[in-house]
Amino acid sequence: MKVSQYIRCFLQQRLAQVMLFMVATLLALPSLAIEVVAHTGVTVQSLPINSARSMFGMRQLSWPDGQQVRVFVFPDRHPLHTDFCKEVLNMYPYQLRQSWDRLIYSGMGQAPIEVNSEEEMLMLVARTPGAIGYVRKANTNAVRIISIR
Amino acid sequence: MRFALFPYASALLALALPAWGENLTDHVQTHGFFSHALAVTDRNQIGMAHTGRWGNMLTEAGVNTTLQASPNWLVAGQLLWRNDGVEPKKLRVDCAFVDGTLLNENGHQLALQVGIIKNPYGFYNMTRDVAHTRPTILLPQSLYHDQGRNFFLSAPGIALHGREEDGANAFTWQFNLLKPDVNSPNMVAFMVGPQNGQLQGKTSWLGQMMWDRDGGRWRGGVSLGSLSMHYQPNPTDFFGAGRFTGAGNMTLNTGVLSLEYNLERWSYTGEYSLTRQMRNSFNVPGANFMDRNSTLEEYYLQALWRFRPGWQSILRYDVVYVDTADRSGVWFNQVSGQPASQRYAQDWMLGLRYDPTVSWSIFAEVHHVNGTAWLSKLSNPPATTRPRWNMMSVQAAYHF
Repeated sequence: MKVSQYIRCFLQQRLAQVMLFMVATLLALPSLAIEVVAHTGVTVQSLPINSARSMFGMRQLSWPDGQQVRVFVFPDRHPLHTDFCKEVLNMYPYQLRQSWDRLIYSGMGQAPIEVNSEEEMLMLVARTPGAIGYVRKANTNAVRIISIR
Repeated sequence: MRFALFPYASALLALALPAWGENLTDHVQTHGFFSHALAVTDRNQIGMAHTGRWGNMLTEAGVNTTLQASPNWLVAGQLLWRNDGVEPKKLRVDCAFVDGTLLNENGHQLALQVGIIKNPYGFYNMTRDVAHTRPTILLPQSLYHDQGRNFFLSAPGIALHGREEDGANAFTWQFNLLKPDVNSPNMVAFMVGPQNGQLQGKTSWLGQMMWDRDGGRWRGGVSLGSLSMHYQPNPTDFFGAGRFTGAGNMTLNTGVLSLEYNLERWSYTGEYSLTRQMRNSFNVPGANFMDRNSTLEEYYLQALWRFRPGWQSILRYDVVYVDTADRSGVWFNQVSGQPASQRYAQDWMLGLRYDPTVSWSIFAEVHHVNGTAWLSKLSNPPATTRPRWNMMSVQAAYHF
């Protein structure tokens, strides 16, 4: 085999590998994504990332229409919470915890409400006016999906 | 004064209760904490830990309740019990206030707080008595010296606070007008020496502007304050000269610069403080230093490493000079006859923390200290102190 043929063959193989990887990644992405969900009575469609940080940081307590925000989260060490902090808020779980603790133990604010499963999260967000939370995939119309920009 | 606030809080609750009906419990939260620390030293005493013998260093317990009546109304109260082996053990109201939002729109927040309120000072003061919110058992004693803690604790007052958001940056600010609750034997010993008179807080202020970027990747801030008090001597003070001396006045004008950089596994923190101490009217015969103004310099640098889930280690260098014009304490030693080491402290600390669950934390740390500036003068009579000393400490902490 000539050198040029060998190189062409190698490149074709590599190209096939790269394309396979890209397709696999694209297929995998929807299952990795995390969706921020809210009660259907919430009127906003999307939130800037700094507003999302303030809401989940328990510092922004009302929606633009004045409705009280009710925050639902998974426990600190839950993999979904870790992924949510990193991928959606671009923070680390310990930073949110420190922010909550500074509010809680100075009397300046309250803690978010903890849930233990995605079913519980969806159920509570669906039935609590002003609620916001997050799940891996919200296959239901009972909650509103909010995009973070 | 303190308990007079409760009728107001109760009245507010009574007015608001009918509006929530059966959903009231959704708006009320209760949290608490408990911690106990043991220590051992090779010289000098801290808490009830003596040289070469493990002893109790610090026990803290507290409980709080908050009622977030609406996004615009918050009522909060916290009780704290603390035993450091020096101060009298007592239950204190750590905070009890009503917070009302005046403005909340488009990233601008402004609120007013009235009652027994928490004072902002540096990164850690607001929750200084809650073990799991501290990176170590002892906070850096340069800025957060426990002997002067009463200056910075909650006090009756009024606060205006707010938050501004602008893209990746958020600014949180607070301005407190307060009357510090400074009268404690330890505080008298710290400010005046081991005397029997009374300290009385005068109207003072503390303010803070904190900045964070990218959700807290960078945090920084400035804290400023002017804290005033009055010392009424006991006739037995100053070897019997107390009956002839006037009442002393002290004002501390203080400022802190704080900066922190947070990564997934590492956090780097530093704070630097200068405090101008102004004193007058003591007029103690033969002790002119009682009326001498001075500048305190305090700073620390720390690196924290989260090396495994639930585990972290920390290294800190923490320094205090009580008088920048006399860093070695030599002049103080010459005019007072007391050890020079009372005027400085350099503390190298290495610590380890393990959180087996979200609610429990176990701490261990060692300190290598040169100087005794932040040791309690009540449990360490100046003539008996040794300038170079080491300490080891362990702590268990629980919170809910």
